[in-house]
Amino acid sequence: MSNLLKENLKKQEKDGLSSNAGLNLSNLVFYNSGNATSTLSTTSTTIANAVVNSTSTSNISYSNSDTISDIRGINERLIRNKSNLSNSSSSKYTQSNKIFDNFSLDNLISPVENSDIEYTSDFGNEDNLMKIYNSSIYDYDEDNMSPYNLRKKYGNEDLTSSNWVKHRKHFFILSSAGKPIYSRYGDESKLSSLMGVIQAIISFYDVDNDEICCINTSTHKIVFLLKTPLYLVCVSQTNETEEQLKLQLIYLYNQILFSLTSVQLTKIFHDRVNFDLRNLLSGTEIYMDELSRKFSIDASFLLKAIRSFRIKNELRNSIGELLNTYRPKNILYGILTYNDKLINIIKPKKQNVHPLDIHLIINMISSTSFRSVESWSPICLPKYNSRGFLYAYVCYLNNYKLSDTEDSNSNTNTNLSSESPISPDSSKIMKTDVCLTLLSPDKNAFFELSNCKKKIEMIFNKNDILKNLSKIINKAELDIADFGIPHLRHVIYKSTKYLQFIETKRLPPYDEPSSYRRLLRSYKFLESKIHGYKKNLKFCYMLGKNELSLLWVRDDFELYASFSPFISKTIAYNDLLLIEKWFKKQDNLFITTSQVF
Amino acid sequence: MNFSGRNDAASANMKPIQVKLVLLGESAVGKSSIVLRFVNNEYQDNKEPTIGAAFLTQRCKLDDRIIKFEIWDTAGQERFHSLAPMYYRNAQAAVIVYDITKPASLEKAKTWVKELQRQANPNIVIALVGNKIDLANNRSVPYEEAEAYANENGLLFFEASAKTGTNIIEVFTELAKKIPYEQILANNKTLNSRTNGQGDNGRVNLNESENNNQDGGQCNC
Repeated sequence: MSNLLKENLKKQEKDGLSSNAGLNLSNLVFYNSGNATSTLSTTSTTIANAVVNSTSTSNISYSNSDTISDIRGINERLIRNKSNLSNSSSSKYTQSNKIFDNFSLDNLISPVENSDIEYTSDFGNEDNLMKIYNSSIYDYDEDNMSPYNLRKKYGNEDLTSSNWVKHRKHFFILSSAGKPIYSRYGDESKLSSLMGVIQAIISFYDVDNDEICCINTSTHKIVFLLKTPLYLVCVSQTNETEEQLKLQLIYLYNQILFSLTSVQLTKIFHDRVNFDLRNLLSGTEIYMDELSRKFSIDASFLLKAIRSFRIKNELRNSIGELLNTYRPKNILYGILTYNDKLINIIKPKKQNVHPLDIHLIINMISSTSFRSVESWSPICLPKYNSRGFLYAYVCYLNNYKLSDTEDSNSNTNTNLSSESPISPDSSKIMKTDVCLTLLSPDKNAFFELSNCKKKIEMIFNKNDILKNLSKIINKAELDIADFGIPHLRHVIYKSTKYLQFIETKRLPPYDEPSSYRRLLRSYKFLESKIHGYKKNLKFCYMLGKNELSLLWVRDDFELYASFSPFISKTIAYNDLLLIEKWFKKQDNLFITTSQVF
Repeated sequence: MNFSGRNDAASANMKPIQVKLVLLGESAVGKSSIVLRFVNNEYQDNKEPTIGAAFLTQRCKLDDRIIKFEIWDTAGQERFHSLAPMYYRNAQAAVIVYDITKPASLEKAKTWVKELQRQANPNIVIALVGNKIDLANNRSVPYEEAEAYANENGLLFFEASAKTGTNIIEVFTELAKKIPYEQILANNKTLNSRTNGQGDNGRVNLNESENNNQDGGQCNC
């Protein structure tokens, strides 16, 4: 970028950032692609324009840099930026921006008595919200498609595809040198011009030792996460807040560390700034894709908590004791899961488990490649230690009849001939969705862990644990009928103490992925209001056309609930108290006493 | 070769000979699919990539011996390359897979052959397998070219399809026939082949050195 341009832009900023920021950006994009960086093609200009600058009014927020004094004019800018930040959701939008006018609920808040404050919204909001969603090509088939098929469907899009611009949420990852690493949609190698634009925007602020955090336009929010040597960017039209999107970028960043470790990542780029990281990350795109998808359909990522499997305390404890008795000597964690739910975990005494690490593990082991084999995978748990690899032994447990001989679980004989192999006892072995994950720091420990798994599987079968688990799987999910509250539709209960949560079964209307996404969006909105608000908010509700959703936050729990939209908030509030009482009485929700060694 | 069911009285009395087998090759050539076809006789379209390595076993009867294949199905991605020696060291057999529709995968296979010839057990029996002959319409590696290379280097050679099951059993049968069992049995008397395979600390591994820091127990908040 030429100095001239920089000066020009700075001048414009001084002239009045809040009103001209959008203009600035468009200038930046056009100038940059036209003049300075030869790699940027004309297509990038138009698309970048479409993505970055689709509006006349924008709002930019920066992080403030520590070294303020040495850069000219930056003080002024910071002050202005701070005011932008604090006002980011209020009056500025309302002047020129119809969609946000309705969506920004702050105007409609009416504080009520007590310390609890309520929010409400008018019926118009959801219509506008839906308008945004309908304008994008989002296809609800996505919820039922495998990551492979999703890649196949969208993988060939590029900047020139008309559909590409319309996706509701893009994620891009590039190296500090501007090399593409990942794009949620489309072929990232075809997006190198866009990556160049992103890098140019980032480096423009980098010159002043400043970091760009977020760009708000009337339809899009562009969030940056700068983790040199990687830049992560989210372009979203989902109305999630900057913090929520940033958290999603942090997940993607940690997914990269999960595969490479921070040491390897730093070393690679230290040795070769221009390194193409895709060589090392190949095969992990599906995990990134899955994460990107789950951000919108899995409450775990909103709640930052682990989804727990609901079973009787005695059964959970006996499972924990068995795991602990038969555990291998040198392990970090032993984790037993059912699909995406945690049944129990064993861990060293002084070692806590971070939900983010567990989310990444669960995201990995849900891949089909872990079924029907024993796997030995080097992984890095970023919150435990981002510098080194652990080795994960992953195996789905089998349920089998004990009347068979002992070795029937693992081995079947085959005659070596051109005939197809014969597996005589395959009918007696039942594959389950119960998965055992053991993490060891020793890369040679596979057979030790494998033997332990055999013992654990054996003892589980002897004690009918797998059978019992499969029996209660239908009852394991919370049923809304348990509460006996007629207008209640959906509940999430999160224990802040255990960082675990439980959710009711998705009954109609939430069996539809689109309705469930809408519900999660309203929860996200409530969450952003509660946690983004300076005052000590405890209770927050939002009335929409489809449901009345509430969030109640206390020191030890968070309770999300959704009711029929036709009941009054007083009734809903009283029901919420009943629900909370019901939860307090349960003792089978969470792992409260995990086995330690 | 004789048929043998699991309940065969003769096989129950015989101690199986453990054969450590490793699958190597570029990513997405179909290594896992080949093993799953051999072990479970199943096939999945669009399999997700293996992370690290997967371990499977399969017992077979060859003549009067029972062979227990202990199969390491390794991940083909570049970042797992440094872990490969852990799996091919002390392996008695290796299946190196390429995709007949991708010439580059044969080149990768050749580098694996070289690496094994240099660093693996000198008696290792290697089979070169061109997978995906169900896609023969898109073939870009001629049969003759790969076969000539295999003959030059003393490898068994097959073209196979995990999808249709063509030639999969044959690969393992021919491998099983060529393995020098007397040597294995002699070795087994002195060493347990299983633990033997893992005691390699000769190689400096970047990952391992990082691991040592790990026990320092960094803060986890």
